[in-house]
Amino acid sequence: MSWIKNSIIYFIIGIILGLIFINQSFILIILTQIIIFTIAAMGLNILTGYAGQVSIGNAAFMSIGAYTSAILSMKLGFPIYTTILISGIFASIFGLIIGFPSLRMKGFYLAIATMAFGVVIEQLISVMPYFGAHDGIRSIPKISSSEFYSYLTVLFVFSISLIILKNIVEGPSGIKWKMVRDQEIVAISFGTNTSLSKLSAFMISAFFSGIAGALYAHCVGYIRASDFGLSRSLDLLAMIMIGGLASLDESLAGAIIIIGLRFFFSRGFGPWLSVIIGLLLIFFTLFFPQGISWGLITVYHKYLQRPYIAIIKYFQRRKIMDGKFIEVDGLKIFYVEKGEGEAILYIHGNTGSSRWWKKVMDIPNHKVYAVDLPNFGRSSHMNTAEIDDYSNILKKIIDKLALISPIIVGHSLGGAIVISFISKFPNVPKAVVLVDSSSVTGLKTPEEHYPIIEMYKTSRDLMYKALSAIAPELKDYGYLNELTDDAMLMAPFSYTAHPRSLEKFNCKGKFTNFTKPVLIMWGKKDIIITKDMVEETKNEFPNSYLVEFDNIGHSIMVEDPELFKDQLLKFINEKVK
Amino acid sequence: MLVRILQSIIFGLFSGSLYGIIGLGLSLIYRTTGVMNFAHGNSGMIGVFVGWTILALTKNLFLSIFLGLIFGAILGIFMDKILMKKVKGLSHSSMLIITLGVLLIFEGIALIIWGTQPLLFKDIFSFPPKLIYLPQKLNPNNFPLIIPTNDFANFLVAVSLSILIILFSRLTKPGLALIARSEDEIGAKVVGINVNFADSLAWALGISTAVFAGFLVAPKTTVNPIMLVNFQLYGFTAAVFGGFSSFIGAFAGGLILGVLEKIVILVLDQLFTKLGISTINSVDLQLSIILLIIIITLIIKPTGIFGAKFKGKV
Repeated sequence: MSWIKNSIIYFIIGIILGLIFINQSFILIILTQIIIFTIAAMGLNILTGYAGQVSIGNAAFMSIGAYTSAILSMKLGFPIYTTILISGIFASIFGLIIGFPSLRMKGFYLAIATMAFGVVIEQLISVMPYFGAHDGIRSIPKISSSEFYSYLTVLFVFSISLIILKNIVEGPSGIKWKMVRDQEIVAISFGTNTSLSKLSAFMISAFFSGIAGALYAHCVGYIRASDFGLSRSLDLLAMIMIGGLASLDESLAGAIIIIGLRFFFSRGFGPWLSVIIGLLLIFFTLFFPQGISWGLITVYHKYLQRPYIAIIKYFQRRKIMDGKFIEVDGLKIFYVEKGEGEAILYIHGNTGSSRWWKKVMDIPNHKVYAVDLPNFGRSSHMNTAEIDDYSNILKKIIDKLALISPIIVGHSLGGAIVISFISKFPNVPKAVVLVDSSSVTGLKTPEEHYPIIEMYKTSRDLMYKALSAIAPELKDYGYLNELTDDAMLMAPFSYTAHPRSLEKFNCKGKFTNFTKPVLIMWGKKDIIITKDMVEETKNEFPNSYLVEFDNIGHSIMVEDPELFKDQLLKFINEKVK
Repeated sequence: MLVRILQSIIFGLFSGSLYGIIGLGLSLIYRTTGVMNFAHGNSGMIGVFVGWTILALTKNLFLSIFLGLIFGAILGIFMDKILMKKVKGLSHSSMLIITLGVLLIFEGIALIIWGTQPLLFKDIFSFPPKLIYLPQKLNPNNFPLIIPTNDFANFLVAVSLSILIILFSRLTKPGLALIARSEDEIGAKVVGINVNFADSLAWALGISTAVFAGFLVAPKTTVNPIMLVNFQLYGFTAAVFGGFSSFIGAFAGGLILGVLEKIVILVLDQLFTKLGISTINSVDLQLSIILLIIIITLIIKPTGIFGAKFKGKV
C-alpha cells in the first residue's frame, strides 16, 4: 500500500505548490505541462522500461488522444471528463493495432516501425482538412477557465494513474513484462503468453499516453499534429531515460528537466535545446543507465562520503586506546587484555576489530585477550587476506604473547581462521568456541553482492546498515557507531578478498582425531549462517556441542554480552575442566 | 497511361537510387557493428553543410564535395571511437538511444552554426532534360516521356558508387575484413582481423555515403537541418526491404521502394480523381505510404524481404 501513500504525498505536495503559485499562472501552466508529460512518460515506461519494447512513436498516441478529445468535445458536444476517458480508450485501440505487428518484431526493427507509426500519424492528421490540416485545432474548450483548477485536475489524474500503474507493475503483469523484456524464450517456457503480455503493455501505454494527450488539448486549448512529432517522442524517451527505465514516478524528474528546459530555452536559444536534450540522452545512457535517483544514490555511496571516511580513519587510528602493540613478522598487531588466570583469545570476524569483544572482556578467573588481526582495526596492513595466512599469523601471535593452551574463540570469518588454525596446530588450544562461524566448507557469497561489498569501502552509511543487519538485537547505537568506525579501518583490498577467500576455504575431513571440546553458538536470527552450515560444522568435530539462541542474530557477543558470558563459562566449567 | 506508368518508373528509379545509397550506408554500419544508426541522415546533413561552407569559400564544387566526404569519414570514425566503443556491450536500446541523442545534437549544431535559412547548393550536373516520344501506337495522346538528365546522371553516379562499394567489400582486403567482421566478430579476431579497424572503416564508409547522398539531393531540397530526415526513413525502408543482410539487397530495396512509391502515388491520384476528392494531395501522402510499406514489410517478414531468419537465443 506504500504506493497509495506515495500518490497521496505527491497530491498534497502538488496542492501546496499550486497554492504557492496560485497567482502566477505562467508557473502553473509549466507545472501542469510537467505533470501531463509525466503521465505520458509513465505510459512509455510501461512499454519501454517494463516490457522492453522500445518505442519512438509514443507521441502519436498522445496525438490520437488529443484529437479525439478535442473533436468529441467540440463537434459532438461531449462533456470534457468523458471525452478524456474515451480518448484514452480510443488510443489504446490504436495501441492494440500497432501492437499486433510488433509481436513479430524485435529491437531495432520495432524501433523503426514505431518511428514510422509516429510519422504516419503526424502526416495523416496534417493532410486531413477535418482535423484542421497543418493549422491544427484552435479554441478547444478548457477544463476550467482557472489555471489552478486545470492544474488540480491534472494532478488528480496523475495521482490516480500512479496508483493504478504501480498496482499493475507490482502485480503479475509487471513480472511477466520484465520476463518478456529480459528473457523472452525463458518467459515462454515458464508458460507466459508473451503476445498477450506485449499487447497489454502496448494498450496500457497507449491508454495513458492518450489521456495525457487529451489533458494537453484541454489545458493548452490549441493542438497541431506537429506538436506530437518525432521530437516529442524523443522528449518522452529522454524523460524516461533521465528518470530511469522501469520506474514510474521517477519520470517526474525527467519531465521537470525536459519541460523546464523547453520553457527556459523558449526565448531565442531554441537550437541549444536539442543539443542539450541529445547530450542528456547520451549522458544518462552511458553513465546513469538506471536513472537519476539511482545515479545520485550511487554517487553518494561511491564518492561523496570519501572525505568523511578519510577523516574518520585518520582520527580513529590515532585515538588512544586501552591496548598494546606487539610486533609479529614486521607487522604491528594491536591487542587488548584484561583479567588474570587462564588464557582466552578472541578472534573477530570480517569488518571486525577487538572492540567487538569490549563487553565480554571480564570472564572470572581468566585472562582475556582480544586482537586486531592484520588488515583490521589498528593493526598494520599486509598484502594478503587469505584465511591460511591469517591462521599462520595467529600462531605467531599466540607464541609472541606466550599463551599456554588458550581457549580460542572465533566469530564469523574469525571462526574460519580458527578452524584453519586447528587443522594445522591441533595441539595448541585447550578448547575452541565458534560463534556464528563460517562452516568448515567455507561460505559462498553470491556474485551479485560483490559490487555492493565494493561500495562498503566508500560508504560508511552502507557499512552501518550492514552491521545493524548482522547484529539485529544491538540497540546501543553509540556502540554500533564505534563498530562501524572500526570497520572502516579495514585494508581496502580486503573488503572483497575476505569473501573470496571464504569461497575457497575447505577444511572438511581434517578433524576426525580432534578430541578437544568445541562449542558452537548460533543465533536463529542469523542472516548469513544457516542451520545447515552449523550442523555441518558440528558433525565435523567429534567432541562438539551446539547451543542455539532464539532472539539473537549473527553476533551474540555484541547483541547479548551477558548471555554470551554465561554460555562460555558454562562450557568452560562443564566440558573443559 | 503507359507513358505515365513509364514516367513513374523512371522517376522512381532515380529517387530510389538515392534511397538505396542511404540504405546501403545504414546496412553497412548495422551489419558490421550491430548499431542501427538513427543519426545517419543528420550525420550526412552535417557533411553537406561543411561541403556548402567550403563551396562558399573556394567556389570549387569538386573540392568541396571531396572535403565533405572526407569530413563524413572523419565524423564516422569519431562516432565509432568516442561513443560506440562504450556501448558495445550494452543493450540494443542503449545503442539506439545514443544514436537518437546524436541525431538531436547534430540538428542543434546545424541550427546554431548555419541557422534556419535554407541554403542553395549547385547542381553537380546541369544538362537540359531530354524528351522522348514513344511511337504513336503506344501513345495516343502523344505525351512526351521526360528524362531529367541531371537525375539520370545522379542515378548513374549512385549506381556506380554502390557497385564500387560492393566490389570493394568483395575484392579488397579491408573489404573482406568488413565482411568477416560482420559474419562473426570472434571468428574474425581469431584469423587476425583488426576488428576495431573494421568497425571504424564501416562507420567512415557509411557516413560518407550519407554525405554523398546529401550532395546529390542538396540541389533539390536545399541545404537545411532537416534535409535528410525523411531520406533516413526512406533509407531504413530500403534496408528493411534488403533485410540489412546484403549490400546489394539494400540498394535493390531502395530502387524497388522508389518505383513502388511513385506507382502508389499514381494509383492514388487516379483514385482521388475518380472519387472526386480534391482536398487531399496524393504527394502529401508520399512519406506515409513509404512508412506503411515499412510496417507491412516488417509484419510479413520481420527481418526484411531478403533477410536471413533470426534464431532466438537465451
